[in-house]
Amino acid sequence: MTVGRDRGGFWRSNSLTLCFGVAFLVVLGAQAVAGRAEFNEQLAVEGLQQIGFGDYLMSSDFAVDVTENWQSEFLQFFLYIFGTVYLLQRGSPESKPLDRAGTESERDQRMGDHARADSPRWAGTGDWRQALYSRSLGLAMAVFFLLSWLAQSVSGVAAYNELRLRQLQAPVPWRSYLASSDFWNRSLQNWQSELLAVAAMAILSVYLRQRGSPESKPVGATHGATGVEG
Amino acid sequence: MRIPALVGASAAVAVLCACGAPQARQDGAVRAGRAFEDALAAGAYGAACELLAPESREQLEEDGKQPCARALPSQDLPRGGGAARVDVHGRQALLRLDGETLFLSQFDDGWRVTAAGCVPEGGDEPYRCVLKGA
Repeated sequence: MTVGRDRGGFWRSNSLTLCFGVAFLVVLGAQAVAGRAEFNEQLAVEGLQQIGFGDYLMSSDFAVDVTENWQSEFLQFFLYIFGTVYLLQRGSPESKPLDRAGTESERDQRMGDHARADSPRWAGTGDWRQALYSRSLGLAMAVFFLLSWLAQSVSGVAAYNELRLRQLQAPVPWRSYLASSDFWNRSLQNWQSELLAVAAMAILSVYLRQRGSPESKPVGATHGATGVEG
Repeated sequence: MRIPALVGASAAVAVLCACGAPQARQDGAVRAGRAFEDALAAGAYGAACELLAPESREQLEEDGKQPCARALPSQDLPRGGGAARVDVHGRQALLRLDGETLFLSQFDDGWRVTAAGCVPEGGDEPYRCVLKGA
């Protein structure tokens, strides 16, 4: 009985990560199916050999389509995490109270000498580990963004060159690809949508409510209440 | 640390699968290109036609209004030889030989020539090719 309760507790207490993780894999698979179909349509038009599902999963065409979205999502979260340290939105649950902009005191952040017995160990070491840990969430997102963007550039130049060869054009080196319209169009079209989503979330959450969601203020909270989560 | 490891591994796979072409793929493209050149040099036009991509072969027959093996000699393709420089990306390849440049594509039964007798047009323009698909 205890085991059963523990397992039930695990699923329930991790349902947010688990549901989105599974949904991610399902949608990634669906993207691969749709992406392969589109890729093969192009090959068929050009009279070239169409490719199987396994080959498509290992192709640069699939890799660049995946990584261009990954990098923008990690960039969005990095900017949001870092930006909300300093930037405020009156009335938004996504914002801190208006008098708390900045990195806040060690007392407020329960770090350094103010770390508690149950605080993460690196929150109170007072050395580089504390400095690193106190920025670890933003840094992780920044590192994932840079790795994903690098992967986008590498898979992107391969996909771009494959297309160029089909069009009887010479391939370009990676360095030239970084200055290409293909690379920047893929990057910027994702960035603009992420920035729009953040701006929309920040301002819409001032006036609109979602009962029970921590991303929303309580339904009855005033529009001016800032930094209140429901 | 499961999520960071997953992301890192995925990024590594994305980079690895996109980085350059395996040696076997490059060798396959070079072998097919050289075989095409050897067939032309030997006057084995039937064999050369077998190494053409279907679209290119159809275009040649349509333009020449005769079977590939009879239309091919009239194309007066340059003869390539010497050291090969090959660029392979995915299933497409550009093979530069002394005197001849070929484009190839990988099919289930091997690499096939999609364009031959190609010369660069300069800038970012496509190569101008004597023989190519539609």
